[in-house]
Amino acid sequence: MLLDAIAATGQGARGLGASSAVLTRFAGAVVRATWSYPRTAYRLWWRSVTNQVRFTAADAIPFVGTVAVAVGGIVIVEASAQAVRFGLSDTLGRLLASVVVRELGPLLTAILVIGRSGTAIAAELAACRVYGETDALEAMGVNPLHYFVLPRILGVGISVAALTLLFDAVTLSSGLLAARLIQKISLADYVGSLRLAMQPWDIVEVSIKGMIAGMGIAALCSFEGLRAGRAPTEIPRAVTRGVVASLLFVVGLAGLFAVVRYTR
Amino acid sequence: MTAAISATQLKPRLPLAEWPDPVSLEVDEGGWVVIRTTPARSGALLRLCVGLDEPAPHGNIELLGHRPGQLRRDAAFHFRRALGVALQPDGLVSNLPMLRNLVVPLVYSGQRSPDEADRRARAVLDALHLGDWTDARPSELPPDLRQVAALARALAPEPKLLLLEDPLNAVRSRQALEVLEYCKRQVPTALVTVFRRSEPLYDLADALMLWDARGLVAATEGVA
Repeated sequence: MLLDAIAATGQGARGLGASSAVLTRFAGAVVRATWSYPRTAYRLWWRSVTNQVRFTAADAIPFVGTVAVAVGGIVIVEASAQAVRFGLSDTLGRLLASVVVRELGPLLTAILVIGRSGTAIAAELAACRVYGETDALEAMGVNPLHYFVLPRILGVGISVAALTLLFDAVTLSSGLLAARLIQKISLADYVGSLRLAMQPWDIVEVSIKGMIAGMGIAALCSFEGLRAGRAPTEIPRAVTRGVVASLLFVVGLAGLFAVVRYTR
Repeated sequence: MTAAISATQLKPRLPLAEWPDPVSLEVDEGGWVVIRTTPARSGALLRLCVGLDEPAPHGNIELLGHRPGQLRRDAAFHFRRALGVALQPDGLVSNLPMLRNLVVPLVYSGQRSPDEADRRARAVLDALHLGDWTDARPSELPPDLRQVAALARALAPEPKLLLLEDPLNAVRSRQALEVLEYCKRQVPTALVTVFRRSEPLYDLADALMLWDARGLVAATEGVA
């Protein structure tokens, strides 16, 4: 039994190592593909990027907005109740800035995008593999990374950055409303504490974090989609792998940003 | 006469039950060679010709002076621009209308600007009587027209060599002959595989071969 467990662990580690090697090769190929992008395709590329932004960002605004309103209400009511109870009302802004704006906003937005767009990307590309679409394009001299992957990476990166800013804005606004109606905190106190806690750099940092998260989600989901086998049953497996890899990536990214911020 | 395709002692590196023994094959420039065989052999052979499968096969295969399995990734994409390929499944991109199915490979392979690609794609679709279907998605096309559309996409880049896998098996003989004659006028060199008798292809073939358990041999129309 112990030997079985050790063998399983070893096999798992070997599989992880092999996947990491393939992923590293994929990342290298993506970087090379960026430099070899055909000039003739710039116009169509831009159209693909805008289509991706429309699907991932514009079409998702009602969904992300609704979640942001709910999160803002819940977090701010809870936080302000505790702050008032312990006499820490003046730290409310700092709490909101660090928890909601810098951490929860980017993380939740990335998770929503994984659920809505990452799954779509992985499923679409896996289906392209199953039905021979990627092979057909490759056979005609088209690098699938140029057509399928690069526009998605940029499009989802822009989308997550934009949606993160929207999420934060809506969360803070709904929080203001909740704080005003339920906790009777004045507008001046709320805005004042926020202004003390937030810097203009926060907006830049949140945008960069969103951009990197979005690019990583698109790259990982594309990778898993294009790695799918030829059977239709590979499609859901590719989606699952893409979602898991993306979730690990965005959580790791959030941790990395937090470590860098608090150790500098 | 120079060989457009020259394969000697060719066999896939990964074992394939239907391809136990190596085969040799030559397709001269200016000739259409038709091979009647099974889907498994046909798929494996054409993928080796295009260099889609890794690792490189046993034996040697050269197309238009290149060894597809040994090219680096970017060189392989460049080499494939000289080919017109229609495999099974047809691989028409399902979320693109027909016109863009032809435009995208032309533009993304760096061969034409979007405007030039648009003109060329329309010309090919019109020539193959698909002009009314430019805005239709592949799933909206009847099966026979879908096969013609896959051929149109293979012809659009004006390739030097056509590689076709069981094309037009759902198309009526007379229409298939008309389409294939157009293909042969456009691209005089081709390797075509079929899975069952195909009168129009047999009529057009410069050489006919049969590939079964006994190997790949020249055949007459009656045998194939």
